[in-house]
Amino acid sequence: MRFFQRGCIRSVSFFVVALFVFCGTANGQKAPNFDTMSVTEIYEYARQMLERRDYARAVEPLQAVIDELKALTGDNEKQTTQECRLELARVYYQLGQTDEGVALVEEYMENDPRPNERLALRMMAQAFFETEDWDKIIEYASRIRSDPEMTPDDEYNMNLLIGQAYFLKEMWEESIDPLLYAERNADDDRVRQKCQIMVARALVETENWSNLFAWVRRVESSDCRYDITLNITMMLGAEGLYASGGKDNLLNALYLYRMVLPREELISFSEKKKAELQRKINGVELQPFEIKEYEREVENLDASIEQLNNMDPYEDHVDLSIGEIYASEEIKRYWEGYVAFKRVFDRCYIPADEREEFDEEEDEAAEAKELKIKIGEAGGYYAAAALYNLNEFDRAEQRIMDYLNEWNNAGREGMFQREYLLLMIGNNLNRSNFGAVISLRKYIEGLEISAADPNKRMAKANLYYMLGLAYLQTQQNAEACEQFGVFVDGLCDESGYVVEDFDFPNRSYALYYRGMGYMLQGKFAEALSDFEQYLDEYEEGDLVDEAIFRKGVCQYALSETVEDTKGAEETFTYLIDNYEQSSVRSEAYSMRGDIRVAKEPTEKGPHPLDLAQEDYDAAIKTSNTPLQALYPAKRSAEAYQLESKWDEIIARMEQYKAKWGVQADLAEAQYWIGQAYLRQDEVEKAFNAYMGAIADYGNFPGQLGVDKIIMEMVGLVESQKDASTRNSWIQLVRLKLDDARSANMEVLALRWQLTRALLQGEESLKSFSDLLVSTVNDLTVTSPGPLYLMCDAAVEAGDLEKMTNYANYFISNFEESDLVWHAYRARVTAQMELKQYEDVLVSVGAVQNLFGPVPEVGWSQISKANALDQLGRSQEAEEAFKTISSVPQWRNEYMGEAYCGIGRTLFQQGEFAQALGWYKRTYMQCKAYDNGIWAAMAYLGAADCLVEQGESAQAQSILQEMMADQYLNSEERAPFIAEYIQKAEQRLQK
Amino acid sequence: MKKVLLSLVLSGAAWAGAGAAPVKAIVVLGSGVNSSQQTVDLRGYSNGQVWYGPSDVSRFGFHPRDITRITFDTREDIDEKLVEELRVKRSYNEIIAHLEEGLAPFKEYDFLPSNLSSYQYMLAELYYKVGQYEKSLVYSRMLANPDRDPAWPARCDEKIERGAYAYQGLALMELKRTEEAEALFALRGWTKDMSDDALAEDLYITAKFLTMKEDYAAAIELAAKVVVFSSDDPQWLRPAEVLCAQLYANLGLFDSSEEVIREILLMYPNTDEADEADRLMAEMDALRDAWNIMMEEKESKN
Repeated sequence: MRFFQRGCIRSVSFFVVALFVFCGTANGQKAPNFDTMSVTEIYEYARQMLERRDYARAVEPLQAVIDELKALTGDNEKQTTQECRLELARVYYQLGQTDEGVALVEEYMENDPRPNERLALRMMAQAFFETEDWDKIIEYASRIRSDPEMTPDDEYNMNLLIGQAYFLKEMWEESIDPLLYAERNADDDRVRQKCQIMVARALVETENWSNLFAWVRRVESSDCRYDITLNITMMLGAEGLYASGGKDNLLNALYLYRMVLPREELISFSEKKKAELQRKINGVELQPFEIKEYEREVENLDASIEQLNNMDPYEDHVDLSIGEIYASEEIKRYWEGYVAFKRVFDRCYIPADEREEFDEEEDEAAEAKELKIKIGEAGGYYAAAALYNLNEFDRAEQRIMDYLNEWNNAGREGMFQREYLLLMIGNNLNRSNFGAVISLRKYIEGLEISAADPNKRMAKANLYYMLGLAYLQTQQNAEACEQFGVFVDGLCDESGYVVEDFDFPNRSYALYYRGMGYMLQGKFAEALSDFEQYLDEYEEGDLVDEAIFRKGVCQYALSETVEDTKGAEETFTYLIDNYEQSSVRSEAYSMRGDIRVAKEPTEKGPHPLDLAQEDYDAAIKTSNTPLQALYPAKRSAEAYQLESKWDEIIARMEQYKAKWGVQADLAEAQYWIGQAYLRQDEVEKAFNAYMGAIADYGNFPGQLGVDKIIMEMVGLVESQKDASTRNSWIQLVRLKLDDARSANMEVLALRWQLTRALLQGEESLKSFSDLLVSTVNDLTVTSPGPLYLMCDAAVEAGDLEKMTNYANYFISNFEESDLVWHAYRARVTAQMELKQYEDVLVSVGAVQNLFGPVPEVGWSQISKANALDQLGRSQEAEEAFKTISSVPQWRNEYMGEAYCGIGRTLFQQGEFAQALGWYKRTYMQCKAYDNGIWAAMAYLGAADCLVEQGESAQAQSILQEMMADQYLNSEERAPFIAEYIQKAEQRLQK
Repeated sequence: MKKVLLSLVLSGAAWAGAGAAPVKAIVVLGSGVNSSQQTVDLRGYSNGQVWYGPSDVSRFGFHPRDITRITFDTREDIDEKLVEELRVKRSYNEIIAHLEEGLAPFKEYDFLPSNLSSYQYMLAELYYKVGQYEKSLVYSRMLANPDRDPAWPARCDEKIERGAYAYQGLALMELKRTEEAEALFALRGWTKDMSDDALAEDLYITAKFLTMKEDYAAAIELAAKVVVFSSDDPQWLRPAEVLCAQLYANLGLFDSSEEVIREILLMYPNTDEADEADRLMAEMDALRDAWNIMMEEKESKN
């Protein structure tokens, strides 16, 4: 690389003028015979040639003058000789004969006088560019720069030379200042631009990022940004920074990547530049050194273009990296990340149905294509991940489902299929969308175990694990155990062989959670085995104390007699004694208290109840949450109740209130205090305690005991035989309602209104429900009492939106309420109407887990069975219907629907004979259920069964029997079963 | 090529603009190989003609439709170096005053295609920056008018015209002239789906439009495209970064918003955008509180 120097010509002009003083005129074009000419004539001839820029013809006369004069000692002769040496050197430079030029400059430097020493040094320095002797350049240029008489031109030229030399020696730091000086002072755009590029490159190489970005902003409008080498350097610099990590490095990498231009743009610019240089080379009046200079530039451009062409396509990689940086945890600019990823995906992704062709290719083009595909796949995956971070869940999942379905339809596994599933499942687990997780099961099961690829295997195991968690969270415990079990007992490959080297990091959790799954199904023996296995295999596991606790719970559950509970008691004692910091220590005290409370006094243990009370006391003291303390407080009260220790109950509740203050369920505590008063026949005190609790805590929606007290107090008022007392109490409720209204205590006012409505009877309660639904828009003023009425009213009105809204609010705010099942019923009703059957299963699991088989939630089992039926899972639906008939609390109310459902599901399975049996049981035993609807349906179903069995005549007689059924056809039931009768008639006519 | 209409007007005829100082200009007529160029003393515009000639009584007229471009000598009226210095200092009102004064002698010709368009564009931009949206509109409409007779040559080059339309849209939105803004958006096709390769100004202005419509997610997606795909276009990149910061806050992604602000302050110190970023950062706590309240209310409604 070499550059023009400013001022060179000016010095030479001076030199030419000096010669003119004693020169004659050269005539003609032919070289004269210098032997016959005087020195002055030769000199004049040389001058003329120089003026004409005919350097080739100037060589001989200049050499002739030097030869003639060099031996002379006069001052003029010496000076002329020196000046001729310098001029001849310049001529050689112009002719591209640098070596000869350098020899003359050296001669000049060895002789006196040297009036143009700086010029000579500069020429030397420049000459070393040819030989690429950077040290010499630096040495010579530094000598000039240290000269106090240095001119601005010298300073510019020397900085330019030194800067370039350092740059080419890759002494980046040292090159920056001289190049900056040259860039500031250059009056040639080409030189300025070269300097800009070199400065930028040096700043990249020295990782001087802040100055680089400031520099780029300064020169961003110049062509320097199109320099290929600079672009490549920036890209490599960015890659290094990105790999180093850390926020600063990431940001610097990002800014570098953003400056990198696409290959086509760079090549097109360089080609134009080449063409421009080529035009100049082919032009006229260029000196050989200029031609050489331009040719060198063309060569450099060619080399850069070739380098660029040899690189793998980098634009997509750069975009992907930009996206990754923007979407990183450090930067969090997910939208920017998303658009970068999406562009990469749009540009590079090849759909499954076009991928076949590529798979068969085996050449270099295929390799490049493969890289592009990988980048495209990564782009698509990261785009979905970014959308999740932006809470754009629907868009993220649309992308994922499109991908999963595309590859599913192609019958192959997509490159990122497991990652997509992990992403979507992980995200939905975090958002408690367990139904969505479960709905992906078929995609998980479709994946191979991939024994050959540990990462893929790990991904699949993780998917099973997460699926297990979703089932566990939705109380689908059998399925949860199945999923956890896939790898707990050894992951099997497709042929059923255990993959021996598989060590799944979450196995300990899976083992524990499988135990939980068994426990929640009441399979305590299996659960105990898992917890014990966990304790054997993971002594240092995260869940050791919890596993001990659960082990105790299982032992307790498996105890058939009080004596059998010894093992459980020991387990709880072990936990209490050895795990002081455990979060379940309080619960262990409670459980031990429960064991002791059931014991009879013995010689060894004469006071089991006292010991139990000590445990409840310790449980309250060591509790970590109000809920942990509430249980032992209530159990303690119940135990004291057995001994009629009413004051102790009051004291226990006071202890609980003191421990948790406003966080305690104060109303529950007051309820027990009220109960204690009632048992002591202090009705007035009890009433006052209840009224006080409602007044004090009723304005806090989360005080769930208030609603319980309201129900209790309504009973107390209604049982008051003394009419005047009863009326004064009712009057007091009205006054309290007025007080609450004037104090703008909206939550409390609604609770008093509820109390009043309950006291006034069903009609009043119905009016109050309607009022609530039509006037209450802000649910924050509601509490479980009014809310349950609202949920019921929405169900009755068939208002899906209100059902969903009320239920969501209720469940998310008051899940501990005894009344929350009303919300679940509203939610499930809406989900059934909206055909969200998977979600129904989740909701049913949740409510059954909270309440167990109590009469209030019988509807949930019916809904579960119907949802399974709608999902085409007839066998499971049949089981679910059968469960109703086996649970006494549900059977009475839902037997008709359950029997009919069993018949229907059996019919769907092709079990016509069995189905017929169940239909018959329905219309024979359950006519009275739901105005005869199930019986009517069962008649029709039975006829269908007979038709399927080829018994058309019998089918006819069944239908006739139905038409003749006096119970069904009574005036009272006719409106409800009219459509079924009509169907029967139509069939008979056929 | 259409023959250039030159008409000689006899002295004594009624005409407007008499007495105005002549303005020297190079006038290009026609286009391509048939174009011609002449240096003339312009003597005003009246009766649908641009007049030129040696005096107000002996003069000729160009029909404006035939003028492809006029180059005025503005060196004495507009000091480019001063404008540049004032820009660095961000003394926008001073630049405006200087340009308004400098353009005054050429006011009669400001509807013609000329080298004044870059200054007029600058004024559209600067008036927008200082919040004088009506005036910004005046200049942007001067350069880009949807009602322009297509038979007339374009007022300015395509890049300036695009930018002028963008400032028109921005000014209309700031002035809450929604209907006009929407009409302009329909005309320019800005409301249509924006691909990754769309021009930075189109993406930006559509993002602003969507912001006005409170469709923040769609808006930020477009603004993000400007940031990622037009990082070499500082005119739109920087405002797009600020818009992203604002929109992240509107979407409740406050950490992201703060990060964008930090990057703006780092990358574009001492700029209008840095000032805006500072202002937004100062509001961040209040925005966060407002968001939390809104979310609580929303949650309670659900």
